[in-house]
Amino acid sequence: MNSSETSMVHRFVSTREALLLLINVAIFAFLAIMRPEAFASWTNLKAVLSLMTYDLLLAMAMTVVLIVRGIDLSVGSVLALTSVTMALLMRDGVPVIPAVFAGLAVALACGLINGLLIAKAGILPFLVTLGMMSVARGLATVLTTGQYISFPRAERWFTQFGRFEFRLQIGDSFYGIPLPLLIVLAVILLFGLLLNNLPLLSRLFYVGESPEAAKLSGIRVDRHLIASYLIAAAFVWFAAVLMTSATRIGYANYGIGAELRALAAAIVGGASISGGSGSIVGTFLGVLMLALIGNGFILMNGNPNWQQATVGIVLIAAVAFDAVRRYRTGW
Amino acid sequence: MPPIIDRQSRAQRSAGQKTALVQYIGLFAITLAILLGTQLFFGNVLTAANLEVLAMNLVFEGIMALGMTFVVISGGIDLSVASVFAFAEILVAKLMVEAGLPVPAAIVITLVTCTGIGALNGFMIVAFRVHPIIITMGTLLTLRGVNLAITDGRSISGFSEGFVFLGSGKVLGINFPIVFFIVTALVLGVLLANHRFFRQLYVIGGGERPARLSGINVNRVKIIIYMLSATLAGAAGIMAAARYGAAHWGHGNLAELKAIAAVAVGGANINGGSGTIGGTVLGVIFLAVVHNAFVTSAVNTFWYDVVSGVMLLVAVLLSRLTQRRNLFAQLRIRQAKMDQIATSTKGESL
Amino acid sequence: MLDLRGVTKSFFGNQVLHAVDFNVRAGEVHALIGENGAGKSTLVNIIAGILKRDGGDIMFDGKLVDFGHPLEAMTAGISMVHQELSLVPNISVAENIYLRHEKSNTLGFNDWRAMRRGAAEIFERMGVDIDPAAPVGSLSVGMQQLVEVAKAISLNARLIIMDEPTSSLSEKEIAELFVVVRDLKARGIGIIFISHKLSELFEISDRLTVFRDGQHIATKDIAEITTEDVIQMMVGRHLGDLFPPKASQIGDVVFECTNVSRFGYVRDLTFNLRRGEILGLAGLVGSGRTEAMRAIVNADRRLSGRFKLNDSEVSLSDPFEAMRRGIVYVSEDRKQSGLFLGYDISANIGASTLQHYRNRFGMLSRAALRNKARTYVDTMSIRLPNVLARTIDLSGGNQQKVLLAKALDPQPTVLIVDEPTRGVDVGAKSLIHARLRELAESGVGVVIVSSEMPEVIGMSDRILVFRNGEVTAELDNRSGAVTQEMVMTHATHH
Repeated sequence: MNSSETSMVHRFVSTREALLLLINVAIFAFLAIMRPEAFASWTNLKAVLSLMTYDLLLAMAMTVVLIVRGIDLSVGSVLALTSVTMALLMRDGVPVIPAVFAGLAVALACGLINGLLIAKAGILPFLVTLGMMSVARGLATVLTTGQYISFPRAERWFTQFGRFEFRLQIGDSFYGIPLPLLIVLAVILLFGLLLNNLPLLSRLFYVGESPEAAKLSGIRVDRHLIASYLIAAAFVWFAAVLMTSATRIGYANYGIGAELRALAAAIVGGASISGGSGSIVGTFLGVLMLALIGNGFILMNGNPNWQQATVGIVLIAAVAFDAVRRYRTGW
Repeated sequence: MPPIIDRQSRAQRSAGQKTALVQYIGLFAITLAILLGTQLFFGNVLTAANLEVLAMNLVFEGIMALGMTFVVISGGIDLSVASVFAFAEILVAKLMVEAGLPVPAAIVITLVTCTGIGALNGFMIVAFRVHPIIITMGTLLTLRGVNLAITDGRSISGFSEGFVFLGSGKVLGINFPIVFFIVTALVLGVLLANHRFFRQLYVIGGGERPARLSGINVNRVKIIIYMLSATLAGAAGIMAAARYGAAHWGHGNLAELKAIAAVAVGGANINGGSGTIGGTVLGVIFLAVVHNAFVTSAVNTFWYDVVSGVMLLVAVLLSRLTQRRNLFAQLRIRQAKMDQIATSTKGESL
Repeated sequence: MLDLRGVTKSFFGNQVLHAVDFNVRAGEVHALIGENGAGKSTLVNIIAGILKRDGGDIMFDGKLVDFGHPLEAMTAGISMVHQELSLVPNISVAENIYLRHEKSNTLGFNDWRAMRRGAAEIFERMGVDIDPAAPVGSLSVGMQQLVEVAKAISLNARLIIMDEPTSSLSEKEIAELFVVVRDLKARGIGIIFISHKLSELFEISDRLTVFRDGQHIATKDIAEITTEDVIQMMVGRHLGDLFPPKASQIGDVVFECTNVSRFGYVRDLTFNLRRGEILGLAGLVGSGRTEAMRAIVNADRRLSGRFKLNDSEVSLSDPFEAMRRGIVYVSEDRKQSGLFLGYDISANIGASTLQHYRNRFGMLSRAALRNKARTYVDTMSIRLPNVLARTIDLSGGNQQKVLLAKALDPQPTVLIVDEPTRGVDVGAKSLIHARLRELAESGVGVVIVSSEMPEVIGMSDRILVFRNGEVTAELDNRSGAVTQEMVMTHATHH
C-alpha cells in the first residue's frame, strides 16, 4: 500500500495492514519451521491458496458493503443460487456463455433487491440480507430438490477452466499455478486500485463514513448503496462461476457459513460494521490469515474440526484489539 | 379547557392501541386462515397428532425466540443462540454418557455453562462497544467450531429413560418441551409486562443515553439479558437432545434466523424499544403453521426457507411502514399548529 | 431555596459560564432569558446534575450540594422538564411518570393500578385530563410536557426546571400549562422557567434573570421592568465584535425561490438573493430556517417550491442536482452532517469534487487534492497537528474552517451557510466572517442562517426574520440600521 492511500482511509488502517502482514509472516514462518516438509510443499501451499479463492471473492463482496455501512449475509446462499441456475441451464443444453450470463442476472437481481430494500425502504441491511439468505438458499434447494446438478453437455472448456494450471518450471521441479487463483488475484488487485483511485468508487467511503454528510456533499447516497450491493453480487457471481467450473456441479449447499467467514475476514482486515473503512489489502490479509491458521491446525496434527472455532476466536480477538486501541487513544 | 385534551388523548390512545391490536389480530387471523385452509384442502391438519407434530417442529426455535425478544427489545441481537443450543445438547450428553453424571447434575452444569456463555457475550458487547451482531457472530463461529471439534462430527446417544422424558414425555397429554415453552412464555410474558427490572428494557431500547440519565445501569441489564437468552437456548438444547435421542453439532443450524423471524413477525421493532412475548408467541405459531402448510400440502417442503425469508422481509417492511405513518402523524400535528398560528396572526393584522 | 455562587463552566477551553450567581425562592416562578448560547441551558443542566460544574458553590435548602448524577438531583427534589423530551414513547404515561421509582411490591412487580391511580391523582391536582394508560408516543408534544411536569410532581420535586416548555405548544396548551404552573407555585414549589417568548414570561413569572455570553446580567422583579428593558439587557452592546464592512455593491438577482414549503415546518417561503449580497436569516431555534434551507436543496423532501438561477428555472431535485447548479448548503451540525470526521482534511475538501482531481488516466490524483487542501490551509489559516490528521482531532474552529473550505471547493454560485460560527473561538469566527464577505464581494450570493443576533446583523446586507415557518419581516441592513430589538420583535411571538 503506498503512502498516498493513507489519506483516504483512517491512518491506522495502513498500520493495521502492516500488522496483519506481520502476523501472516509469523504464522507462515512458524509453520515452515515446525513442519517444513508438509507446510512448505507446493502441494500444500497450492491447496491453501486454491481454497482461498472463493473466500477471497466473498470477502471482497462483504468489504464493499461494509464500507457503505452495510452487511451482506446472503453472499453464501446467492453463491449457491447462482451456481445452481447456471448448472441447471447448462444441463438442459444452454450454451455456457448465455448460462453464465443468466447466472450473473440472478446474482444481480438478488443484489438489486437487497440494495432497494436497504436504500429505498430503509430497512436494516442485516435484516434484509438475512431474509435474502433464506430466500436464495430456499430457491436453490427448490430448484434442485437438494440434488447435485451436473452438466455433462456443457462445452468442455468451461469444466476445464476451473482446474486449469499453468506449469512453471523452476530448476528441476514443476509448479502448477491454478488459473482461477491468478484471475482472482488480478481482479482483486484491479478492484483494490479502482476502489481507492476511481472517484466513482471512492465515494463509497464517504457514504459509509457519514451518509448524512455525503448527501449534503452532493453524493447520491441511495444510488451508491444500491451500487455497492450490485458490486457485491458481481463478486459472488464470479465465485459461483469458478466454483461451478472447478467442481463441475451445481449444488444448493454451496457456501453455507461462508458469509460468516467473509465477514470475519473483512473485519479482521480493518472494515467496520459502522462503515467508512475497509481495505482490499486488509481483507486479503484477513482471508490469508484465516486460511493459514486453518491449514496450521491440520498440519500441527491438531483436530481439523477446530478450524471453524479459530475463525470466531480471531474475529473476537480483532474486535477486542480495536477496543483496547480505542480506549488507549481515547477515541 | 380540559375536555379538549381529554378527547384528543382518548382518541389517540385508542388509535395507538388499535395499531398494536390490529397487528396481533391480523397475524392471528392469517394464521388461523392458513390452518383452516390447509385443513379444508388436505384434511388431517386439525388432528391431535398433527398439531403435536406442528408444535414440536418449532418449539425449540420458539424457546430461543422468547430470549431473543428480550434482547431485541433492549436494542440488541443474539446470533449465537443456535450454537449455544447445539453446545448444550453436546455438553449434557457428554456429561451423562461419557462422564456418567446423574441427569439433574448434568442439566444444572449445562445450564450454568450456557448462562456463562451469555454473560461473556454481554460482557464483550458492553466492554468492546462493538455491535452485538459482531460479538454474537464471533461466539456463533467459535462455539460451532467447538461443537464440531469436541464431537468429531459424530453424534452422542444412549440416554437414560428419565432424561428422554424431557424430550418426549408428556405432561397432561402434552409433550414436555411444549409445556416448557408455554410455561416459560407465560412466566416471561408476565415478567416482561409487569416486572420493574424487565420494564427497563423498553427504556434502554428507546435510547441508551436517556436510559443512563434516568439512572438505569444499562451495562448490567444488558449482560443479564444476554445471559437469559443463552440460558433459554441451553434449556432448548437439553430438551432437543432428549427429543432426538442424540446430540449432534449440526442440530439447530440457522435456528437463530427462525427465532429472529418469529420476533420480527410478532411485531417487535428490531431497532429496539418495542415488542411483547405475546407477539413473539404469535410469530412462532405463525411460522409453525406455515411450515405445516408446506408439509401437508405436499408442495415441495423446500419452499419453506423461501417463505420464511419472505415473511421476515414482509414483517420488517410492515413495521417500517407503521413507523413512517407515525412520523407523518406527528408532522400533521405540527402543520396544523402552524396553520392555526398563521391564520390567527393574519386575523390580528386585519 | 436554591442559591448558586460563582458557578463556572467551560467546554474544551471555551468558557460558557463566568462565575455566575443565581437564586430561586420557594413558590416563585423565576424566568431565565438570554440569546442562544448565553449559558442558560448549561446553567440549568448543572443544577439538574446532568453537567458538572468546574467551580463555585450550589446551595439547596441551605445545604451545600454536589450532584454527580441527575438521579441524585431528583431525589434531592430538583426535577427538569427537558426541551427534547426524555420520555419513553412505547410505554404508558403512568409508567413514564414512575420510571425508576415504580410503585411495586417486594418481588419487583409493578402495581399498575396504583401507578395509574397515582398518575390520575397528580393529573387531577394539575387540572388536566390525560389518560395514564395511554402510551406516551400517542400524545401530542404539549401533553408530553405535562406528563414531564407530572413526573416531577410525583418525585415530590420542590424545584422544577422547565427548559423552553412552550416552544412547541399551541396557545391552548400553553394556557393549560400556565394553570398548572400557577398551581405549583401556590404549593410553594420553585420554578425556573426558560423561554424566548417575552409576553409569556411577563405573564407567568415573578422574577426574571437575563444571561448574556455566559454572564449573569441582571435579576429583576417582573413588576419593575418592561419588555424593552429586557430586550436591551439581552442584546447588550456588542461593540467589541468587529464585522467586515457591508457589501460595496449589490448586483442582479442571482437566485430566486418561490413558495417553498415543507410539510410541518415551512410555509410558502419566497425570497430572492442578489449577487454580492449577504442575506441573513434570523429567528429563534425551531422557527424553520434550517428546515427551509434543507428544503431548497431537497435534502428533506419539500412539498412545493420553484427556483430560478440566473433567470432560468432549475429543478433542484436533490442535493447533488443543487450542487451541480452551484447551490451549496453547509449544515449547522458539522459533526453529524457536515464533516467526515474519520477522514483527513484533503479527503473532506474533496468530498464534493473528487471528479475534479483526476490524472490523465481518470484516476484520483491525491497529490492534486492535497495541494488544493494546502491552499485552503493557508487561506483559511487552518491549524493542523499534521497534514494527515483526522478532522475529528481538530478544534471546533478548525473543523468549521474545513467545512467551509469543503463547501467552497465546488465554487458555488449560491452558498447557504447554516450557523457558520457555532461553537468556534473568536479568532476563527472573525476569519470565517471575513472570508464570507470576500466571497460575496466576488459575486457569490451568500445566505447566512444564524441564531446569534449580532452575527446576523453584523454580517447581513438584508435580513429575513423567521417565525413559525414563515418570514415575518424583511429588513434592509445595508446601512447597518437594523437593531437587535427590531429583529427580536419580529422573531418572538408577542
